[in-house]
Amino acid sequence: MISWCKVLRALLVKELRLELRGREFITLLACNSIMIALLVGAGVSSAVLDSVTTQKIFPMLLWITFLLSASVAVARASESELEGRGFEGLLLAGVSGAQMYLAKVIVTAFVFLVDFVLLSVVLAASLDQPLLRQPTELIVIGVGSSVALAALVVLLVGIAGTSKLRGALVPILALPLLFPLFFAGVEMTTQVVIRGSLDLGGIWPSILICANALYLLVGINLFEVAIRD
Amino acid sequence: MSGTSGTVIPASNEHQTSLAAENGSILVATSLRKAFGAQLVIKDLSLSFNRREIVLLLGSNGAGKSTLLRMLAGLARPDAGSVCFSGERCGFASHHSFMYSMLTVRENLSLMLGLLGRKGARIDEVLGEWSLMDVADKKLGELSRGYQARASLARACMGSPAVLILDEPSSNLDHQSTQFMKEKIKQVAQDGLVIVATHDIHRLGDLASRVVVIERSGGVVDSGRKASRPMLDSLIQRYQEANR
Repeated sequence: MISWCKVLRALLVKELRLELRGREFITLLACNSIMIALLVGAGVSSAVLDSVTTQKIFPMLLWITFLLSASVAVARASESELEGRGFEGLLLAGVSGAQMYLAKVIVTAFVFLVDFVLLSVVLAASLDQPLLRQPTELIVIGVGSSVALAALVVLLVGIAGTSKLRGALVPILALPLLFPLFFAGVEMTTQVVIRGSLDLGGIWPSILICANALYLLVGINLFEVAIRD
Repeated sequence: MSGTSGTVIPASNEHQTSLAAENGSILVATSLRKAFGAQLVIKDLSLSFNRREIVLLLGSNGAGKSTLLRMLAGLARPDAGSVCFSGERCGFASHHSFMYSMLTVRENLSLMLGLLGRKGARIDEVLGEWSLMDVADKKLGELSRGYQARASLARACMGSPAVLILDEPSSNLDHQSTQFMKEKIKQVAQDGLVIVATHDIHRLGDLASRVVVIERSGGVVDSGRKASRPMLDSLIQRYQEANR
């Protein structure tokens, strides 16, 4: 178990190094998010909606923007891995698919979380929403959604990795599977924005937890099969 | 060339490991079959390999050498048949680096040392041994193909692999690096198995203790384990003449 964790730690360091050195994924993600958020903000403002209506549609706009920008950017998330067949190098070193998968999910989820926080601030500012009144609840929603999203897209990148069409395949495969996350995210953010508190015992957090469990379970078991030829 | 197959081990998964061990084989491929779409690349191929062998794998382009090597290394799944490996670790080098172009040579090789659990091994020793000290802190993607190939070979040879599989290892190497690689191959073969697929027969032909030729038709010509040097040379020469 100790050596298993040591391998995972070495992979995490490698993932972080690759991410910090390339910065391709995080830059693309942040640029997409900010651009879409500003466009949405400008569009909604010009429609002259009253503040109550804007508050009601804010969670939906936030989640459309987040998931859209994430699904587009994620195709670049494993580029450095696929370029030199790094996954295969790790398999040759005796690393299990589960370890590779978990390391990638942790780092990708962290990047998604950073993007989610950034996007929330930018969108809230552009729509004049007092979002930062409930930062803890928002972070909880962000963490839950980022992990589920990362668990799903990392597996899809593994499946589509050898295809030349992976840039298009990953978003196409991901979008239908993101609906539970979308609805759970919208409903929970609505609770935070409108009611001022998050009902952790409700149905939507349960759906988010189930999505996390399902995507992680499938990913841990299938990732190695997906990347091995 | 006529097609004769190598040693066939019965294809029962439960018995393969013990049979391989009994026969002294470290790597056994049984009835391998692999197709890409409608194209059948490997057709019912069976071979077994022992320790202390240096096997030269020859074949024209498209004969299925790389596919066979990937299956032997466990990176590709055969459509039918099985590969049984009774050693601890398999090193593999091909035209892919299996490393990260954004990381430095030192970081790439350190990662591999860490993953192999070789705590005692010092990264500087590995870098020095492979003459990579000068480029140790440069990103792999910024290096010449020759240095990349050397780094890739260093990675494959790390952790004393029981089986070392090399796909066109000398294609980007100069004379000096090729000589060094040949020494490394001999070292690994003292207690392990080395399989080398190459077209560079002039530089690597003298290494072989066994020659296996894969034909596009699916046939296999195997010199066998106890082939004499003249026999190996004659097989290599026949292969060269057939592919001229």
